[in-house]
Amino acid sequence: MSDAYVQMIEILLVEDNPGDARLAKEALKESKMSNNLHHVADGVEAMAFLNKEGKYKDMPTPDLLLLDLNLPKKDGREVLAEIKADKKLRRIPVVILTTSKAEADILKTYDLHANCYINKPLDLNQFMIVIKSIEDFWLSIVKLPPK
Amino acid sequence: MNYHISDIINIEKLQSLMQKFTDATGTGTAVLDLKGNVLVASGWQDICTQFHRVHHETKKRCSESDVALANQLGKGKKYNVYRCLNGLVDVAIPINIAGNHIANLFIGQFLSEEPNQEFFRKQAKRYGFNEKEYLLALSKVPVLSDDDVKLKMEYLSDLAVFIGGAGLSNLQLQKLTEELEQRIEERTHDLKDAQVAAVKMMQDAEEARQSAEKANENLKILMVELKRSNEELEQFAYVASHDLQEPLRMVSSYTQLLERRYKDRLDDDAHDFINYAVDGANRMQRLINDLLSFSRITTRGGEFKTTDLNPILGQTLVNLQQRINDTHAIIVNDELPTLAVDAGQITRLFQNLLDNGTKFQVDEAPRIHITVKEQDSDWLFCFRDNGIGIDPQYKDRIFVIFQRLHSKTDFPGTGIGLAVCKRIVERHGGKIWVESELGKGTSFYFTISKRKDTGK
Repeated sequence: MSDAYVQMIEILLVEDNPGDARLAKEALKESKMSNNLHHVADGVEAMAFLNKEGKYKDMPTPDLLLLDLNLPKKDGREVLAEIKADKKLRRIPVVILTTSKAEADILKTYDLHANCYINKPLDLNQFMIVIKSIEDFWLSIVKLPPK
Repeated sequence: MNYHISDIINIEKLQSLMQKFTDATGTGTAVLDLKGNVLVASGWQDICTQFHRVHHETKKRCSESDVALANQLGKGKKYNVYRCLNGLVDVAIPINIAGNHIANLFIGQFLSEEPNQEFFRKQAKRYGFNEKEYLLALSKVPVLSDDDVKLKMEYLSDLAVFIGGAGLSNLQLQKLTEELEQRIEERTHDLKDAQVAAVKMMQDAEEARQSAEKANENLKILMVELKRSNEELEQFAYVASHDLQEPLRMVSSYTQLLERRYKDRLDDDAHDFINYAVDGANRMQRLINDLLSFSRITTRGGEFKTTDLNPILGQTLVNLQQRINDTHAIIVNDELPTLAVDAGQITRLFQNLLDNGTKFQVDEAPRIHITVKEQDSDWLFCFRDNGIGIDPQYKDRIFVIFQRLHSKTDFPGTGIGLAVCKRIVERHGGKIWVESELGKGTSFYFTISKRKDTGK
C-alpha cells in the first residue's frame, strides 16, 4: 500500500467537456496521492494516447482510465470495446464517468467489460467525494495487475 | 267472359273427333261460336255445301236457322231439334264452360222422315239448282228415326259436357298458368330487387372493406408515427438526462468551487448569491429527473407480476423510516390483496401517497389509515390522513405535473408526486381521485384492476 504514495499514478481522463475535465483535475489536486492526470477530449485521441501514437509516443500507459460515454469522433462505448478487445490494453481498469443514468448505457458498458459505472454527481462536494473514492478504491485498495 | 272457345279447346282435335263421329255414324257435325262462326265441320251434306250454302238466299236461310236454333239453346235446354228453313233437321247442343255458354255443337243435315220430293223439286226450281243433281244430293241425306237421333244426341250431349269439363280444366289450368306466370313474374321482380339489393350490399361490403383497409393503413401509419414519436421521446429523455444536466453541473459545481476556494474573500451577499445559484441548479436537476422518471412510467414500465402488496407496503415504510421517525407518524393498514402489478411502481405509488400524507401536516403527528375494499373488477384503496386538507376546487389540479398548491418554503417538492401516482394507477387500469376539505384531512382513493393484461 505504501508504494502507492511514492509511485506516480498515471490517470487518463477522456472527457470532451473542459469544465468537467477541470473539475476532475481540481478534485485530484486535493488528493493526497501523487498523480499525473492526462486529459484527451475525444475517443480518437484516447486510442492514440493508449497506443502511443504520434505526439503520445512518450506517454506512459495509464494505471486508470476515466471514460465519459458521449464523446466526439469516437464515443466512449467504442473506445471501451477497443480497449477490452486489445490484449495489451484490456487490463487497464476503465471507470465510466458519465451523467447518463440510462439503463441501456449501464448494461451496454458492463457487457463491454467496463470495470465500473459511476454517475457524475451534480453537487461539487459529492463530486469531490466520488473522485476521491475512485482514487482510493482503484489506486489504493485494489491490487492492480503489474505493468 | 272474354275468352273464346278456341282459347281453351283444341279445335283441331275436336275437328278430328267429330270427323270420326261422322265416319262412324254418317251424321254431319259442326261447332259454331255464338257469333255463328263455323269452327268445326264434318260430314256435311252436298245438299248443304254445294246448294243451300252456295245460293245467297238459301245461305241466308242457313244462317238464320243456325242463329234461331242457337238462341233457343240460351234458354237452358239440354238440346234443341230444329227444322231448318231449307227443309233439313238440325240438332244443337250447348257447350257450357264454368256456367258460361260459349259455343254450340250441331249435328244435322239429316231428315226425320222420307223427304217430300215435291218440296225439294220446287226449291230446285226456285233457286235454279240442277234438279237432278239436287235430288241426288237429297237422296244422300240420311233419314234418322227419333230413337236414332235421341241416341246420338245423348252421346253428343255427354261429349259436350265432357268438352265443357275439359274446357273448364283447361280454363283453370290457364288461370293457374296465368297466376303462376304472374307469380313467377312477381318473384322474378322480387328476385331482381333482391339481386339489386344483394349487389348493393356487396358494393357496400366492398366499400366497408376498402374503408377498413384504409383505416388499417392509417392505423399502421399511426403506429409507425407512434413508434417514431416514442423513439423521439426516448431520445429526448436521453438528451434531458445527459445534455441538459451537463451545463447544470457546470453552473452548480463552479459556483460551489468558487465558494470553496474563495470562502475567506467573499462577503455575506456573495455567499447568498452562490447559495441561490446552487439551489436553482439543484432544483432544475430535480425537475429534469422528475420529468424523466415521469415519462419512464409508461415507456420503461416493468412487467406485471402477481404480487402480495403487504411486503410492498412494508418496503415503502422502510424507505420512509426517516420521515416516519421525524414526524412521529402513525400508519395503520388493512390486510392488502395480492394483485398483478408492477411492484416497483406500486412501491412508488405508496411512497408518494404516504410522503404526501406525512408532509402536509402542521400541528399534529400524522396519522394515515390505509383501507382496501374488493369490488367487481378491481380493488379500491383509500389512504386517509389527518393533514391540512385540500380545497375541493383544486381536486383535479393536484394530479397535473408540476402543479403545486403551496410555496416551496412551506412544503418542499417539485409537484410531480401525484402526477406520477395518476400515471401509475392508470397504467394499472385504475383511477385516482381525492376527497377532502380544508382542515379536515384528505382521502386519496385509487383502484387497481384485477385484470392481468393492463400496462401493455
